[in-house]
Amino acid sequence: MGLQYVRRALKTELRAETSMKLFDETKKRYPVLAEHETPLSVLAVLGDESERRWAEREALTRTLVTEEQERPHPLWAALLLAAYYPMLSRLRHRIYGDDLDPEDFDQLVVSTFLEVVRAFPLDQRRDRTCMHLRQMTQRRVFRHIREEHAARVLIAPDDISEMPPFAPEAWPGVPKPKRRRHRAGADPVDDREAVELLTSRAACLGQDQLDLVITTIVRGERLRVYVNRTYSDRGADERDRIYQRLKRQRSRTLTRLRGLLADLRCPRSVGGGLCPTGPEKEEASDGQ
Amino acid sequence: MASDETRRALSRAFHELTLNLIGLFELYEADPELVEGAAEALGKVYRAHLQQRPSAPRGRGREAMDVLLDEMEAAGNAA
Repeated sequence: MGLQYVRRALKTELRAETSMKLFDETKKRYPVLAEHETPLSVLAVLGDESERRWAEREALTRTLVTEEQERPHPLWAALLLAAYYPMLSRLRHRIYGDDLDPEDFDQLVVSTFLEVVRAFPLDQRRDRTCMHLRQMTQRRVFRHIREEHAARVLIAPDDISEMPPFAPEAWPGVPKPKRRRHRAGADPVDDREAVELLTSRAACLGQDQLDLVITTIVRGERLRVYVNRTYSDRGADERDRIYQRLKRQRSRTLTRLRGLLADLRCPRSVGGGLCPTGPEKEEASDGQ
Repeated sequence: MASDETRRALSRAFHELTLNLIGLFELYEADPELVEGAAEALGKVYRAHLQQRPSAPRGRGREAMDVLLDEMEAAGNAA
């Protein structure tokens, strides 16, 4: 759930008849809500950061937090998220790094804020609720990012494309395999077909991502070589960071590509392979 | 001339309407010109019905509705 989703969700909630009924019912329990005919004016007060409205904003925030804790409903969550959108957006833009996708950062900020709201100790924190919500959300978000970063540094799996080639001939008695032609030297017509296929079927992935896949997967250039070639003017450390970032981007692009090209998968053959064998192909053509 | 009760009811209605519009414009990230135009039109109707004079310079852009709300609240406190 990205930050832009918050506004869309609230728009949907405000159009829902059930939400309006719920708001009218809840107004009966809270005098601070009774002053408002619709959730829109609640939103206006919550969005007013002037000192004059501090007390009203505080009272409304506590009311919405109470309702979200005791009788959770998308309307309360959406109202709180929309009211705190500027704070969440500022927090989101303070975060940068390679450990998560930009969309994941959005989702992290939103879900952390809602977690904080649902667990907020209203009995212990009796004032400055807005400030506490902000601080607790920030602390949790940054703690999560630190943990995520630490986990990635610990694991840091090697990219299979960067491993040295398997050399079976090194074992005694194993016949020397035929030397495979390097993929970089593949027939340019084959490359073109693959590129056209990717460009037509996966244009939504963005040209940069497609170029990366085409260069390193279709044309077989190693990612490390590609980075060194493309970013030759950068220092070694920066190239390494770029390499790590591109590696993650490529993995995500490949995952999305699998979904986009799912209908092209070959049926599983009798022999267990993914594509039909030669005799199977002949049988299939004979049958037609 | 409206009675005091009618004036109070009208003031409350204008106040609530202005708050609603602020929330709506915020939610839909309205164009500043739209906000300014709405504040100007609403302010004119408000002043005409309640015989109010503008108490502050007109607000600009996204601030226009907030300035109008301040004007209404100031008039309500003075009454």
